[in-house]
Amino acid sequence: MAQMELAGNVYEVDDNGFLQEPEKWNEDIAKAYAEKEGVTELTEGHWKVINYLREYYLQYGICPMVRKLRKRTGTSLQQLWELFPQGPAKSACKWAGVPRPTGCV
Amino acid sequence: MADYEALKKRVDELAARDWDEPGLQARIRKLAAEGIPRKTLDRDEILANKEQILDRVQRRAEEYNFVTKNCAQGTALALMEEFGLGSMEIIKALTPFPGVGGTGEICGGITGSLIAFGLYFGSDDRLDYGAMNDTIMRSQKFMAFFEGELGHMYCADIIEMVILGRRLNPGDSEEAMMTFSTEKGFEKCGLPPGIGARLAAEFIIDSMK
Repeated sequence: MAQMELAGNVYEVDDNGFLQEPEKWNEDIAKAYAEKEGVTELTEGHWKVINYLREYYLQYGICPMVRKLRKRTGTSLQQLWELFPQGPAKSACKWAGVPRPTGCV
Repeated sequence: MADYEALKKRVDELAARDWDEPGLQARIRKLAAEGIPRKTLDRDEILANKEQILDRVQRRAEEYNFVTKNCAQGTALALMEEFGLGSMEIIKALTPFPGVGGTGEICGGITGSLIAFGLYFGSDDRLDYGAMNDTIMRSQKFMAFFEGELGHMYCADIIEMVILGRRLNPGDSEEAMMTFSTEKGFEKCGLPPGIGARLAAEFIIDSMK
């Protein structure tokens, strides 16, 4: 299993850099991931999405579909791609410390 | 953020355009009879002529939308012809896709573009999940850009906010379709296919860099 240093600690990650132990996530990890993608400040818009992703994952064990994410956070697809450089699946889920979404969503 | 004033101006230009309907019909009949010509894409030439290609794709999507009365077909055909992709059978399959089945859902400017993305970025290996995910992510990013340009992704919203300025679903009834046609809806509705095809072509061309 690959490892990655985030916010001063070492975590197990998958081949795409997604945290493998979601329970170890904290806000500093989100900030560290964001910095790796060139985002130096997480705004209210970022946290709204990240927190929703975490809540959904902890409740259902999967990531929500983008449609649901848009509706529940009131964030348009355009805004999601502006907030998260690689989009909701590759950036937002990673920053939220939830596993990489699989399949077509 | 969509510039509604600029979009309205372009809608008005489309409504006032003098369309060569017989010429466009002949062009589509030729494609139907002979198929979409295959092309060997020359990366350097395409990159050097990017703006010209984008202008041509946009114009053709507007024209094909007008003559087919079908935004999904018009968008896909302009892109497939430009890049030598797919067959006219795919255009036939897109028949029910304007506003996905006339329900006011996803705009054909998106659907038609995504068909072209599937043909260009998709893999011949059905089990190539990497290519599938990559194509889906490109598609989603494209849709975000489309939403950014037009302010919306759904047919009903685009018609209300950009095309006609009021809510009207041409798929609702014969009367609604007549009203849409009388108000130059088919001319004006060239805007989303034109913008969608241009954006999609830009994604394809930029992927060649």
